[in-house]
Amino acid sequence: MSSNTQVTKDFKQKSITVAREFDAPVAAVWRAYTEAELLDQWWGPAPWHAETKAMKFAPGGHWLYAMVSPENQKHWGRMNYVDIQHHQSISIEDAFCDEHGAINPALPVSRGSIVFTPTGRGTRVEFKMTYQDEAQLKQIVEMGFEQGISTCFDQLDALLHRNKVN
Amino acid sequence: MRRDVFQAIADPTRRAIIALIALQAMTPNALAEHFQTSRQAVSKHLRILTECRILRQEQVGREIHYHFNPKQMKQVADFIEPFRQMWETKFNQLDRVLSVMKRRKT
Repeated sequence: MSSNTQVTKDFKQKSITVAREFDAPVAAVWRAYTEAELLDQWWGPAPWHAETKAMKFAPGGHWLYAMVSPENQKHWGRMNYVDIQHHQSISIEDAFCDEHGAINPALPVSRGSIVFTPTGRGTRVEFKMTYQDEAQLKQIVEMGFEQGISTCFDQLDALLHRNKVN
Repeated sequence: MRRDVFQAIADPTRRAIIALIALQAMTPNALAEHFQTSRQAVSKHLRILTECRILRQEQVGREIHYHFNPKQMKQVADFIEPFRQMWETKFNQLDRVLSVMKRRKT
């Protein structure tokens, strides 16, 4: 199940799309995206993890959460639910904020849509994020770079651990 | 052979070398102690990483120290791979959540 994630970026449209197929019915994937206790288990890319402070899954509601680093550093995020089509799609606004949910205007706000499509094997999820300008899109990709580097450190840990065991 | 940042990060040992040297400059010998592979293999990776300009050499007395060149690595940021990796990590976690949900049901 590795390397199945497809990413396409479109600088003209100022958008980036992440897509992946999952071996589970739409109803299950939908729950994993819309219930705080399930989201907390996967939304933060290891070694980070997500912690929900508040969530109201309804149009006009939002999810307030922290990305927590291994050093317990917290980056707060806020996902506004703009529109919800049950078991089909969710339109969101994604922003960085403080612990009270006040949006940080210095960081990019994206509009996004998450689309769930049943397939022969399970469910395909497409998450499209659109930014106001190209600079914001770049900024977001660079933030991903930071977390990509921590994946790199994980691999290093695993490698060093293996060497110790041998 | 291709000598760019993507060639540099294509190999897991090279990624581990980058991660180590990003923390502090190192000599080839100090570096080789972290790996089970031969010193020659580590040297070869160091040569490739230097040619990709991810690392630069500095002569200190009789020793060569390898330094990390973050500017070159930053190139990757303009591309998609690290972003894809981040989502890959998240989606693998989601896979696990989904399989736990399935097991609970049955």
